[in-house]
Amino acid sequence: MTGIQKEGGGIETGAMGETVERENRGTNPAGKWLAIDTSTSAMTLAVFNGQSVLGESNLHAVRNHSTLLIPAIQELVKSLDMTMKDLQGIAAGKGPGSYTGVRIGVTAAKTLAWALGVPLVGVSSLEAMAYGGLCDFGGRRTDDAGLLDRNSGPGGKMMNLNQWVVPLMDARRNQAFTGLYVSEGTKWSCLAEDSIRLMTSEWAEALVDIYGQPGRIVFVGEIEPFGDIIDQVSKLVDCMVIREPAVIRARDVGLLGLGQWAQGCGQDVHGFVPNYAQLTEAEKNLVGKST
Amino acid sequence: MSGLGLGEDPTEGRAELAGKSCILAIETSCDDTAAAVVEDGRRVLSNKVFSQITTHERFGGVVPEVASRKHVETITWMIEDALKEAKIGLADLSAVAVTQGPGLVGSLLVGVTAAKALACALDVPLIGVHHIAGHIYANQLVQELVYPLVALVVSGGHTELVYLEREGHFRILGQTRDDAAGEAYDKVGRAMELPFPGGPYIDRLACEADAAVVMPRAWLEPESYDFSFSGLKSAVLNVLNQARMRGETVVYAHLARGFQESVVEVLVEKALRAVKATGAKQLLLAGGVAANQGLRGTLTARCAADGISLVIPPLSLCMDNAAMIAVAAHLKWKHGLFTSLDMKAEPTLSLEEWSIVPRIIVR
Ligand SMILES: [Zn+2]
Repeated sequence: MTGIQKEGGGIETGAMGETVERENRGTNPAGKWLAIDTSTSAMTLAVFNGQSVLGESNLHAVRNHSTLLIPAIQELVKSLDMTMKDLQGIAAGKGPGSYTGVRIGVTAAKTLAWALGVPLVGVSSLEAMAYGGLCDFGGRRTDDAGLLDRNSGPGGKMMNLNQWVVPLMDARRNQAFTGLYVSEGTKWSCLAEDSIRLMTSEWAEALVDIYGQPGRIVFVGEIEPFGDIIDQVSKLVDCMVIREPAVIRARDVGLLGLGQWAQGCGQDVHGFVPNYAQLTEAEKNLVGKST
Repeated sequence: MSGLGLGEDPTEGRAELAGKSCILAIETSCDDTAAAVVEDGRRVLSNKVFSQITTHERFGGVVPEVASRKHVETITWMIEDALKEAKIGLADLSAVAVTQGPGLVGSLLVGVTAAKALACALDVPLIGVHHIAGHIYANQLVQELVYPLVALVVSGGHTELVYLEREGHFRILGQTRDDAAGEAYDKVGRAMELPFPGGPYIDRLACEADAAVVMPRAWLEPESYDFSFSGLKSAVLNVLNQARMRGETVVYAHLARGFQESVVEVLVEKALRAVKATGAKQLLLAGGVAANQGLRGTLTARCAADGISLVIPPLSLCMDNAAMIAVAAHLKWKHGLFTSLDMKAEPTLSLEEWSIVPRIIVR
């Protein structure tokens, strides 16, 4: 895990993350934004007004994003009594994930933003997955036995915990697209940047060696193929380790994107490209030959 | 319904469009990212092509994943350039057209997604276009087409003889059973260690050669309009291998000329036979290999001798481009035949099924 430290999007999260973020009915300087992500088999869309979600559409196990995405956007916008021209910004998951899936989302987002003449923000799909995991599983009170109590409300004592969120996307051949995101107090930041990793015990050891001991770890996303490796991490840390299957939701893409936009981090539309996290096979072979 | 083609929505069309049209077309079926604006299917306002050839050169061929990635990087640039050069705004567009197939699926998807997003943002119709229909109709930018006609389509992915009884109605008379002609050129080029793509180099060598290594012709069955080039390609490889084993040197120019003469003769003779058998009034040459000097020269001479009217597009319209897609899209536009936004990119789209079947208008 060689990650470059980077400050997160400046979104106020903490234990109250969900409440603060998702039910914000205050002013909306950003206006109406569309958020999308197609980097996994989930096809997820949301329309925001400021930071509140006006409507969303989440489909799972989608085989063909290319046929469904644009009609779904059209339908969602229409269902909110809006037209495409009412959109004032686009936030899009830029991967990593399925090459084809990410390309469809990124191409749709950049073309829409260009045609509508609105700002575009690219968001890490893994960060959106992690952020969703934090809101769902990271900010809840646990019972005395240390078990996650899903029925309880948000708990204040999690607020200042140094919580790691590790998103996992199966990249086949025992590899994962993953990164390391940290929530502490109101700060949300990226500790290890998104990359493709071989999920071996070296990875588990490096995670703890490099980044130290967290107050808690939440593994989210495609958990199932990586059970053994999560077990290994559990043995190396003396904190609670939570694992929850989760899918990317556009509402998290949107919240992160709006946060970036508020900080002045817009994306040049023409230059917007997916983060594939790795070279193509052909390029790898070429590099191999020349060294 | 059968003639409407895939993904077409018969309820959405405006059936009697008589007015002017301004169609923006996108073409990303292989390794070129292209966008163009064409007015009324005749006047090219812009025709921008971004070639990825320097990217793929180092791999010795087009790498699909690399091509798809490049398309994403370039697509909105090309659309913007096409509009700027056409000196029009987005609001002036009457429809967005895009190559629906055939082609590399990953490449097609980028163009298709961009076209749909654009049509959706602008609230204008989408028109999915068959790539080969585009190549054929590039000729309409050169001269008035007279039906019935025969088109000889020769490119890196296609070798086809197509009969058009009337406008927009395609019937395949014959096609390649193995390699496309352009593909055979590339493979032979590689065997002769020429840069990629080998076609233009073989063409140049052949034109300059003072002798030819005679190669077999694949005529197939006497009646057939089909083609086969893999045997010829193997014959070239045999000559190279045998010379290598005997320690002899082969004059590449002679081999190139022998290969080219075989390809050209079969293409030209079958095309002329098709013209005569169908009573076609014109023969159109279409596709990237139409840039080949050997083919252009022989076809021009043979057509002149036989009194056949031949149409060959200029080089810029032979290669993959988006203007040709806009021209073909205009055929559908005239009939109010639009494509719904759930259109699928079709790597093996059928040309015959893409034919235009006018809708019956009930008044
Ligand atoms: Zn072509």
